[in-house]
Amino acid sequence: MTVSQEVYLDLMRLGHIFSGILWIGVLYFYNFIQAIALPKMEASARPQYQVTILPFSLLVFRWAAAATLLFGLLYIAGAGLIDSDYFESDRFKTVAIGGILGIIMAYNVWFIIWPNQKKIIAAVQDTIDNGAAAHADQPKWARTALLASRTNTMLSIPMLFFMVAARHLPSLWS
Amino acid sequence: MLSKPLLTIKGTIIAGVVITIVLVVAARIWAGI
Repeated sequence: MTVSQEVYLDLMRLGHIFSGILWIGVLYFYNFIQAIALPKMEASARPQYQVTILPFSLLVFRWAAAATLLFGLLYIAGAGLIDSDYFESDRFKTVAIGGILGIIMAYNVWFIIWPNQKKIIAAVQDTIDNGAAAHADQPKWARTALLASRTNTMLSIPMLFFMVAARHLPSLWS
Repeated sequence: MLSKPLLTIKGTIIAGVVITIVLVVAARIWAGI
């Protein structure tokens, strides 16, 4: 492997790890902190949280998810081009299990959690700006987003295990 | 649709650990074939 190939793989790995930690960090914040603490917040203060901190955290959340996926795919593509045996390796098999789980999670972020949260934020903003009554579908949107978020938290456990196991548990396939 | 116990944080973590164990066992069985 040439130096430039190693640098490429290291940069993709670094980008993948950094954005992945950012993504899963925000996911764990939603599930382990916000889900418990937000209902305890005074009801009159909650809408302010929902139109300030929530949209910004969701912005970081979904783009970190996209960046994690992109860096991961660029790493795999590069590793496959550099070493034609890469896709036959135990390392790839392990990382692919984590990767499949990660792809399902990124799908949930972009196509279930974000669209539903976007509707909730818009409805809360409408209530703040125009005094509109809470939208009738709001509990439904919140529940759908919660289910996808909980699913991602559940999947993150095996996903992280297999991502790390690719390098640190070489005996998995032997 | 997820059942109610899976919606709790404890249930979510237990389910995640169980899935991890199942996948590890499946990988080891696959490797043994």
